[in-house]
Amino acid sequence: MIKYIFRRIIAIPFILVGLSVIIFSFTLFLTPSERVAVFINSPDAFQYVDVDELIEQYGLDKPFPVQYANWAQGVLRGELGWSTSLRMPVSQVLRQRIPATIELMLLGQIVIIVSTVFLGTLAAKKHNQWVDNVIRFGVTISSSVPNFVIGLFLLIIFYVGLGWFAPGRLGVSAMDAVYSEGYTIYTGMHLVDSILNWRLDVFKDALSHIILPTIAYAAGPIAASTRLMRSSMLENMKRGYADTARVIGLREKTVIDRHVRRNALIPTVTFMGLLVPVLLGGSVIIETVFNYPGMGMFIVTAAKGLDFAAIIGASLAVCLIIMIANLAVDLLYGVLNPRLRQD
Amino acid sequence: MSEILRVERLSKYFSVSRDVFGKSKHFTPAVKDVSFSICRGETLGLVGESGCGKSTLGRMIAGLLSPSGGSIYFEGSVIASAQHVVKAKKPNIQMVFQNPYSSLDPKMTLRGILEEPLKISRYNKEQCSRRIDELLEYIDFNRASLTKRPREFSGGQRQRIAIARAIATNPPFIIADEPVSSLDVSIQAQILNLLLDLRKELDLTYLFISHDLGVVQYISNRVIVMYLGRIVEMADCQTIYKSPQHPYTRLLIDSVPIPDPKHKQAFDLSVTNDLLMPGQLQGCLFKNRCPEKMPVCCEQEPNLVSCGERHLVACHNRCPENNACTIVEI
Amino acid sequence: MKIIKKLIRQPLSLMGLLIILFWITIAVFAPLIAPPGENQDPYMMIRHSYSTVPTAPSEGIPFGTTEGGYDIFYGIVWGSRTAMIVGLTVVTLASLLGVLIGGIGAYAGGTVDYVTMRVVDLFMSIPFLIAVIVMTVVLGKGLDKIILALVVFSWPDYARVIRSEVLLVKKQEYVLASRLMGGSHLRVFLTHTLPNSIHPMIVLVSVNFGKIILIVAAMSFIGIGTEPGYADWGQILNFARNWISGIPGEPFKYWYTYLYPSLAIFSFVLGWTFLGDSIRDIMDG
Ligand SMILES: Nc1ncnc2c1ncn2[C@@H]1O[C@H](COP(=O)(O)OP(=O)(O)OP(=O)(O)O)[C@@H](O)[C@H]1O
Ligand SMILES: [Mg+2]
Repeated sequence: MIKYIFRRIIAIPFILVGLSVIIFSFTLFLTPSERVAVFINSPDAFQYVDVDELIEQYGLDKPFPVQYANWAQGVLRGELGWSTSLRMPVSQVLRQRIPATIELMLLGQIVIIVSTVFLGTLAAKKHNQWVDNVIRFGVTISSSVPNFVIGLFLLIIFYVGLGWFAPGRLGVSAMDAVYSEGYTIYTGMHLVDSILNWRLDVFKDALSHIILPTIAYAAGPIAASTRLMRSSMLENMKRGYADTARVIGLREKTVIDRHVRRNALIPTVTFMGLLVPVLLGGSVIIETVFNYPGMGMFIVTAAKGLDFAAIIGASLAVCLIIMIANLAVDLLYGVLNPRLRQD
Repeated sequence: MSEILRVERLSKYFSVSRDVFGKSKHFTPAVKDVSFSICRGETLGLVGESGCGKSTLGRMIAGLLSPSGGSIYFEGSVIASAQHVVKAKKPNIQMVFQNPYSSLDPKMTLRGILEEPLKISRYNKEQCSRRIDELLEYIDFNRASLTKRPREFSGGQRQRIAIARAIATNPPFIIADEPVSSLDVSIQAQILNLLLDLRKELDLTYLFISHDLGVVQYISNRVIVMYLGRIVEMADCQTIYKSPQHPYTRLLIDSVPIPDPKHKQAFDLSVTNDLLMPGQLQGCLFKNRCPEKMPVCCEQEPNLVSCGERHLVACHNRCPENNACTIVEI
Repeated sequence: MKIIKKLIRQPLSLMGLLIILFWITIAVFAPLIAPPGENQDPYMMIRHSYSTVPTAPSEGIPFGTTEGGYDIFYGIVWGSRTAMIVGLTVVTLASLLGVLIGGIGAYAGGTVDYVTMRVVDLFMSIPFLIAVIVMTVVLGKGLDKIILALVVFSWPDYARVIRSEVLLVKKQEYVLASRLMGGSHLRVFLTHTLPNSIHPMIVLVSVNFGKIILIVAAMSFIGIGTEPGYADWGQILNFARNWISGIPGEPFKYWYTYLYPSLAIFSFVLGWTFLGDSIRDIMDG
């Protein structure tokens, strides 16, 4: 297991290089003057220098490997270029946007795992009774509703119809509170920071904004992982050890809660790991629908504005998040399944 | 009789485990330093328990695996040597496999299966259909079966189809790798008789692989006994049954007449696996199970030596140091 | 054939089949159901006006018009063609590419297999939607660009599935036998290895068909992909985004702008999900 994790960590830089080559090679479709933005890191360069000079300076008429090397050097120093659509350095945008998306993703994962465990256990316990059938039917339906349709209808019902929640990330007053003096930004995730600063009004506001996107985000994955959890619960209930536990006199509830569920969780955890790229992909849609300023919306804005420095920087960041998440899932997997740890 | 196939010091190593970077760490010899030759028209039986390297040896001769060392000659010319398989101009060596359920493509009809070798050898349409008729006659099938697929045939029928496919282009040499061990005893005899008939009619040479000495006795002229990748005894069929020299051969012969097919596995395989541990490889590989073990057996690996007319054995007991045994050079 | 019989016997898959058949009929008879104007590209939605405000369903305009005066009914009918064309082309091209690359890699084994699998891993570590968006944007607007981007990033899925299958099949003795007869690698690969490993692709194709349509709709929905006015369900829904809040006092005034396209996308994908799930159950069971 340790060997395996070690191998995964060693692989990360190689994967990053590979990915950055693929992503950077997209710039080959662009003209050098369009490509300039990818290399610039402050507005001054744009305003006072001639574009031709910049092309020369960054070697944009040189062959691909030279350009890639120039660019990669900048990336290693944390310079990701100038975002023309948001008019600030890409690295600065990422500092604001990554926490927003991670906040959404973490909350989404929590919602997914809690509802999966609940629904999956319920469906398995009441196997073939009407509860099970209702859950199964709901799962099939909700896995075919596109998340943007869900998002749109959530907006229509809860924002337009009922007026409970609003799009965006924070209301005006909460925004003022966050940027006022005496409010320390620890993680950039409003839910966490507001608790740390003990500003419950901000917490409540942030929660009311994030709740709809989280539901829209989680609906599809909940369906898929509930299905998985249900079938793996059913399979584990049939296994020998469950019978043994029953024979030695444990109550059915204890058997299921202590033994079956723990084992049935293993495939679900694997699934959660696979979910990270799916969720990040989904954030593109969800954040756009709810006007939630995270990485997904950033990528869409950048893509529409042909803002290549931003596209490249954001894609790299997303890939890095995915790799870190995968590593975390591997570790979690080792905790759940002690047999793996020894090898 | 002229020699058709010769094998010289043939070895095959498989890597067992890999390290962090995917490089092979250590190797197990599946076949080691095996030498023998077969004459035209002869049937050579190859026996040994499961995992002793019979199939590996057969597949190397067929050209499906490249040897790690040694060489193979067919009709005098090299067909394979260390790490290298010479591409054959003609399909001279064909194989009949153990499992008739995986040796026929489930998606093909009987016609397709029989046509395939003919088409590859560029028979034209007319030649093809004539040859298929002949083949059907050999294995006693009617033309109506030509449109059926493998799953519609029984195990014995499939094995007959596999044999027909093997002889389709008139190859002189057939390797039969446990062709009957997955079949019922009653059907086994049918298949063996078919092989015997074909040998007579088509002047075939067989390398017949089996873990069942009884079956080998029925069909072979000469027998090789293998143990953990090495030849431990080689002699004419009668000689081996009348006066087996190696203790392992005796064990095999003693275990033959058990009618229940489920009991044919005479030894527990755990011993085999123990022996593959590094450190155990020194000396005679049979030492842990040998009833006649001597001190020298733990130190030195016995050579294959002559102990009678056309009779070779690798055992310290049959060849004490002072005895005038000759080490056989092939 | 047996599969089709089994599919018809299960209520869910029968429903899936019926829904798909319904949309196929609409797509095939689109010119009769919603005849395009003369000298007009049929794939561009008919415009009744250039007004930004949607108009309610009325005589001759059964589903009303959306922002920009586009006829919603026309867009939905011809959008089914767009969906079918994109789904078919992408799934066909991507599965062909995946089968070739993954299949050859697995058949050859060793370094070739290792390299192809690392490339597959690389492609699969980028979120599909983001990758496709980025590539489409770089290539420019248009259905062909979307199709290209979707193919480039969806073949690895097929490659991985076919690989595990080929790895099993290539050890089968009928493959070895064919080599022994002197069959070339190409021949063995095409006549034995591929036909016997193609089975799971059927499941993957049917599941992915709906997924691809979803992605295309999602992209048009956020405004990336087809040209403005192209008959495409996601785009009709995109036009509706400004109108979901209705007007004060009448929150659901413009319900027709989002209800019809949502239903179209939902039912289409639902059909493929039902069908794909049932095929998987039948194949596994
Ligand atoms: N491709 C391979 N990779 C690694 N080890 C292998 C491979 N093929 C065979 N071996 C090993 O080589 C040894 C000999 O195998 P082989 O199949 O030749 O035995 P066998 O005598 O034919 O046995 P059986 O009677 O079961 O068919 C076994 O220990 C097996 O585990
Ligand atoms: Mg074998």
